[in-house]
Amino acid sequence: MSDFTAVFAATLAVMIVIAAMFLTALRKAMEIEKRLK
Amino acid sequence: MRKLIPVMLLAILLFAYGSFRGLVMLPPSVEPQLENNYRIIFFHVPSAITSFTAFTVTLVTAINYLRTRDYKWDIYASSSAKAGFFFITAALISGSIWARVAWGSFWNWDPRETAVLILWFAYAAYFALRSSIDTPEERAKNSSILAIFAYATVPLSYFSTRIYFSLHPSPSTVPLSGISLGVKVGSTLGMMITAFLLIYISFFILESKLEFLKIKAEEVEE
Repeated sequence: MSDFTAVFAATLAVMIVIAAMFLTALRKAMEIEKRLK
Repeated sequence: MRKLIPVMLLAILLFAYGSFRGLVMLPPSVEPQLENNYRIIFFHVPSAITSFTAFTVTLVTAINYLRTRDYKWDIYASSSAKAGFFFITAALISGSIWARVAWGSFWNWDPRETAVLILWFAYAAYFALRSSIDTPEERAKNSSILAIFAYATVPLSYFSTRIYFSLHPSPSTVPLSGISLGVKVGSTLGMMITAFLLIYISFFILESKLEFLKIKAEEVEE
């Protein structure tokens, strides 16, 4: 694995995990909205 | 929720500028083993520090729940633990990719790697316990007790490099001596740590508010 691939993969992985964290919050917000309708 | 927008914007700005500095502007390391792969430090270390901060907040709020039996503390504890769990997962993934290029293998059973894996399982058990108990009071009480015990893995992870021989540098020498770039690396790292902490604060407030709203929605349904 080259340095470039490793840095790219690690950066992408961290960003995906952070995005996934906020997606769980979004899913919860949508569930609440559904319940209140 | 609107108050969160400036915090999130600041986090995005710091994250973008810190990433640009870390990935593009800084020169390669003089250490032959690190060269360009040291740039992973700008994502790996902030993820780990933020997760330790989040688990510390979980510990304090769990103790507060057991002291006061006020349900809001349990919501704060679980929201913070959730953020910490995501950040430690990011640190584990980015760390194993870095280990592959710097040390030759994705997993080396290094004391810190092993300690962080134990930490990961301890907090996975916290969420498994929470989802297995239906009664809110029982869930809050038992998971608060587990959160206190699980926190023992945080100092264990942090000091593991001092206790045993480790491929990771000791906290006192991190990160400047190993990377030999000095102030520029330090300031960029500081910027990224601030960005990650702001992301954590945003998520923590958002998740806690959503959990309060969820309880209200359930009450309205009933």
